[in-house]
Amino acid sequence: MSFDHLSWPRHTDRLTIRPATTADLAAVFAVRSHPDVAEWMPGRPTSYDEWLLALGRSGAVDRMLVMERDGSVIGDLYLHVEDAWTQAEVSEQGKRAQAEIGWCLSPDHQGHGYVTEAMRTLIGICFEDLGVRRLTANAFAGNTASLRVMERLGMVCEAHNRADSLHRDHGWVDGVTYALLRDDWRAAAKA
Amino acid sequence: MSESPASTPPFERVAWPVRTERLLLRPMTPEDFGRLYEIRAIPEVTHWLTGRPASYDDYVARYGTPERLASTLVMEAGDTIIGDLFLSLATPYSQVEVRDRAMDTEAVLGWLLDPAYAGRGYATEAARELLRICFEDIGVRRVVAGAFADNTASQRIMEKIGMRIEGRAVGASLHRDLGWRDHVDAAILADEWRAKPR
Repeated sequence: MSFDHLSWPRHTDRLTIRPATTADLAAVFAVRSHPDVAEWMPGRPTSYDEWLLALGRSGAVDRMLVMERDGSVIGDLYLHVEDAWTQAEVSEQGKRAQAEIGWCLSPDHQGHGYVTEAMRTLIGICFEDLGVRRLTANAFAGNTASLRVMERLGMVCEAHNRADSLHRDHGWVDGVTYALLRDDWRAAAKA
Repeated sequence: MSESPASTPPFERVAWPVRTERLLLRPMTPEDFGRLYEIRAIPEVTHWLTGRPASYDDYVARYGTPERLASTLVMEAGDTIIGDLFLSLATPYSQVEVRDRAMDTEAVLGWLLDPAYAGRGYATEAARELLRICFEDIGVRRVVAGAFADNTASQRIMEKIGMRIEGRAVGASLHRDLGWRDHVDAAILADEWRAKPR
């Protein structure tokens, strides 16, 4: 999907959020190829050219946003709107009803709450602009920094799956899914 | 290149038919469509299922595909087909560098019973045997099953055969009559299955 029909960039207190362009990819690669970052990410890119090719093939650029702090890209955000599971007769109502979110931050900028700040804005976009009714985020259970962000965002741990995810170095390890419903998010915003 | 056992379609790794105390399990064939449609045409059977076929032709179009034939078993008691079972391989999440080691290492199960035969433990007997087929004959490392959280009968079967409820997704699944409902997922690992007295 494309984010073209929304208005960009969005500004938070300290950050600017906007869809990624090809001009951002070198900065995103620098973050993604950092060993501490790649530990929990789907891939550990080593060659910039190969990473670009894989990105182009998968269409992942279309689901990528970047976070900027003082004009520099400090990480990327992932947003994938998808169809919810429905019984066949009501599938129309499930179209684009949910989204998966994710993030990746440069180790140089961790510990300042930037991801939480950016994701709060992105969650608002999902629920209020995109018509999504439910958000999920998946992680290795050992990725405690990410789990803390999910909890700060008000997401609830809905699944803890035993040895369901294969890590390149640690083998089969537990995976978790956190979720947030639009109704709960709106109720919390009012409270 | 020689073919590794793991690339053999799952049903070809099993010596059919498989017999339990009271049941016979075997892959579905087109000759079974009439009887299986008869069961799916009962409204309470499809209350929790993905689709409710509108006619026999609709049933065959949806459930008679090569993919479905390769992932559906029938259960027979005596000479009567009393339901069907679903068994399909899946690839769990993995980091890209180890994707080949994750391919088809998980099985997804499902079951459906003619209500005329409910209450006698047939579905549990069949599901328990499905687990054995998955772990001993097919060789997967993890088996999963999902259901609407309100479908307590199905969850009881999952728990009776040793599966653990691992997740409950709130308001994640849209039911044709009930609206957005919770979904539960259950799982069991090969090691857990082997360690359990049966």
